[in-house]
Amino acid sequence: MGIYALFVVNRSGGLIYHEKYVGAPTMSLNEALRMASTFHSVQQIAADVAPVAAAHESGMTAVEAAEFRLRAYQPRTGVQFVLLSTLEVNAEVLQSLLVRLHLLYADYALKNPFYEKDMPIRCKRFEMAVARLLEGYTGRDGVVARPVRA
Amino acid sequence: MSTAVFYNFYLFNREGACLCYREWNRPRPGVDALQDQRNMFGLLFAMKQLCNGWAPVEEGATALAAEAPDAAWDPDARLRTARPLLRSYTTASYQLHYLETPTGLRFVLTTSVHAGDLTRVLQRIYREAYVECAARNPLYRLGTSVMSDAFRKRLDAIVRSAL
Repeated sequence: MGIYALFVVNRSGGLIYHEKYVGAPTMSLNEALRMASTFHSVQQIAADVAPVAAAHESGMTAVEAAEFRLRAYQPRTGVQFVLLSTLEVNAEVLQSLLVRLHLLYADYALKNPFYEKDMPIRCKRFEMAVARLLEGYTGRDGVVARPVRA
Repeated sequence: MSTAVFYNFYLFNREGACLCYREWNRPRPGVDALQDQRNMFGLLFAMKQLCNGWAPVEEGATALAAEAPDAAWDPDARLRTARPLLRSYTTASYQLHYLETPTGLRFVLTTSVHAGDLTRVLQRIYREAYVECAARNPLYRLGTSVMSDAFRKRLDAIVRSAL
């Protein structure tokens, strides 16, 4: 199935971008918002219970589960890029895609004069670039649902 | 694998009581042990819910609501049908490995990062330490903390052999 969901969470735990592909669980926008903020707080607790101190502890970067894997990338600005994929997708591939998503975010959202920081991303160019980037990694039909606008 | 450092171990029952806590190496000591255990259980509880919400669906499969018809009026239905999906998570400084048995026991092991998949080690702790030294101990009452020396020795031995 490949990559089946992408979300971008801002530094206060708000969901600012959300895209689903083949295999994504059905969830309402409210549910997606709630899960994004739960993930944000879970990361805080994960840093609190850490048995070792780190110079820059930002919470979870990877989650391995029985049916899927999650990779999160958090640059110093606090915004967070999260990819969900099935187990056959290589972890290194996900990691490099996340870094490139950050570049797309910088290019198409942050450089857009009408985009306000920490607000939902509604940029056509960003959507197109993300679709192009993830094209080969999603399920065979590509996008099944229109991106859910946060 | 050989360079992995084991930090600590938690065993929770399904009510969230910490039955056993063992620490081998903890460079950043917790402020309050009880609070630390509560945080850990809360974290795992939330992660279980999240993982169930994130799990992919097979093509053509119906939504969860259809599988559990009582989900609409019973808010706890989702909690009861939640599957233990979490295996491990990694942060910048440590990795946490997780095993949940059908009886609701949660085995938690934290190590340094890049320790790989330690599901086997957790299964051995369950099989060789918990079952042998707690469940089969006639003096042990289920749900009370596991304080036997034998359990601790087994646990240490398993972890040492996994290094």
